[in-house]
Amino acid sequence: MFLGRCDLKVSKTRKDRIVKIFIHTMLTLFAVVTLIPFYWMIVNSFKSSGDFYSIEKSLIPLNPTFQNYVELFADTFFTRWMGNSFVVSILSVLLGLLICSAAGYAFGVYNFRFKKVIFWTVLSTVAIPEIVTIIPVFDIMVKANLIDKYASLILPYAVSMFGIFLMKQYVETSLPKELVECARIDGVSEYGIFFKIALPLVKPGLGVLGIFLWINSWSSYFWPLIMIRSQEMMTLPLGLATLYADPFDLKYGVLMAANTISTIPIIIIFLFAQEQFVAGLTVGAVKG
Amino acid sequence: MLRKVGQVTVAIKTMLNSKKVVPYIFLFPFIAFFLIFRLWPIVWSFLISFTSYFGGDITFIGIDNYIELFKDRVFWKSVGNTFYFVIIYNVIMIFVAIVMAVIVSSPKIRGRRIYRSIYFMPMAMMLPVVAIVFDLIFAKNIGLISSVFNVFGAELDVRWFGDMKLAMWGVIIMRVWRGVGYYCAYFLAGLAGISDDVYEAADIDGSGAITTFFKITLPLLKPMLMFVVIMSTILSFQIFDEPWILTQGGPANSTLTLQMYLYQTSFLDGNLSKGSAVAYIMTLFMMFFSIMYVKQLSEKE
Repeated sequence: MFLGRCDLKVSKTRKDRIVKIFIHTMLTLFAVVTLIPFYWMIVNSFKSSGDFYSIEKSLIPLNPTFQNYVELFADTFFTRWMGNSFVVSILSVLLGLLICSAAGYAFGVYNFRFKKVIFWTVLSTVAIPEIVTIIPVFDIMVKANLIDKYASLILPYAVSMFGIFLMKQYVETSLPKELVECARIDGVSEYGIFFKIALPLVKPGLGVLGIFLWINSWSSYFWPLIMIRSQEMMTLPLGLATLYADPFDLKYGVLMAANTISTIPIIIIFLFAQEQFVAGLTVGAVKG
Repeated sequence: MLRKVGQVTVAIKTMLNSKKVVPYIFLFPFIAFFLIFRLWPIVWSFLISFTSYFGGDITFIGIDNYIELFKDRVFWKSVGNTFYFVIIYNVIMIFVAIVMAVIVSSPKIRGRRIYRSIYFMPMAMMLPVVAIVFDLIFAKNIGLISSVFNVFGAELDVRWFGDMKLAMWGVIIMRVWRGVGYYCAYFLAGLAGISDDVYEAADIDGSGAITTFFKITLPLLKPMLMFVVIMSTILSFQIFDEPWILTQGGPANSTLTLQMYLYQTSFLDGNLSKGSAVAYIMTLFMMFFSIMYVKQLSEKE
């Protein structure tokens, strides 16, 4: 009897241990598979052109070199593309935050006549995929003479349906109605309430939405592909693809250097604001 | 005179601050953008799909664009490829993401946060970067897979994206790699919503891990699963970046997707009206999922 119980206990802890080992093996396996492309990208950015064509295939650089990075900055438009990407993404984030928070605030705080009609019209168009709007917006940009200009990349991205819903929710949950009433009695104007009281209170929401808007703009490839014509106006994703597509000058080392540097800003933001980053990307649909 | 001007400005000020006007002022920028970049394009591209439009004159041609598309073999090839990709990608990705989420959320794990961060990291790579890096993984001779084979003394000398059978699988693998950790985050949120009591009860009842998963975890995870299926279907249907950069639809149209067909038709051939017809056919294919998506969003409201 006593022995029996003991046996049972031993087998249970043993089973626990096997499960634990299995779980940790899986965790590690997933992590390794996830990190391999990062490893391969970074390692290849330090390979010399000789390493690529040597008969000896290797998983590490044989003659590590910074040559690829030097060439990247000297021979390509890389810095220009990076600058363009920063300008475009920062401006679309600022514009988007302003528009979305103002609209979300209007929906969250006020009752007005066409509120329901406007809200449901907006919501119903979410069912129409973005792809439908691409051709007409291109046509608009051609007619407005905005092709190959920053505006063609900023304006279409400035408004986000998710942004409106998100900011509406934040306004409803983190801005007490009494506070708005009090401020009104104290004689604060409606705009003062929005800028001085509401915006500071919905800051976490602005952070989440900001990251969402930024990553959508920063990593967009299809839109610039249609709107941008000249090398000088390209953003990073398009620039990288152009560099890759050059059949006479395909240098994997230089490309991997470019890839590594363009991934770094996103990794930095990810590491410093992880919670917001995950929230920002899972709040709405991010491509991929 | 001066008093009158003063009165008018005061009147304007009170009007601008009245609760009837203020919400519209806050909404104005959004509505302007919404009309120009969303509502009007949706209507316009529907109308234009019944015309012949290359950026100049517009001629009404009825449903000719649609008829032409239905007769075009390349179009059907792109439809087939897109469905093939969407189905296989989603099945694999969602399966792995759920397994990942269940494992990461299992109790007594050291360094859970670190694993979660690592799994999410692929989202930091933009799609063009992913495409180029994976090209070098699947490359001939210098590729990672080639090199690994070489270390074990075996030969695998094929560039995946130059091979008719492997190209699409290359695309699927890189999308799965990037998407798994991302959707895992959704499932983790779903799992966090299931209370520990449920599991304890199951444990006391003596149900095994696998029974617990199918009888308890999965049913409770269903709402989140539905959301992920809907969202990732809509998104993966519009796959473009990686195959376009790597293969431009080749070899022999084996990776040509619907959005690539749309791009070629409207921006390389300049046929904006036929491109709009493709866009609306794509919308039709996605309709079921889109409506479900809006339903879920409005339920949140």
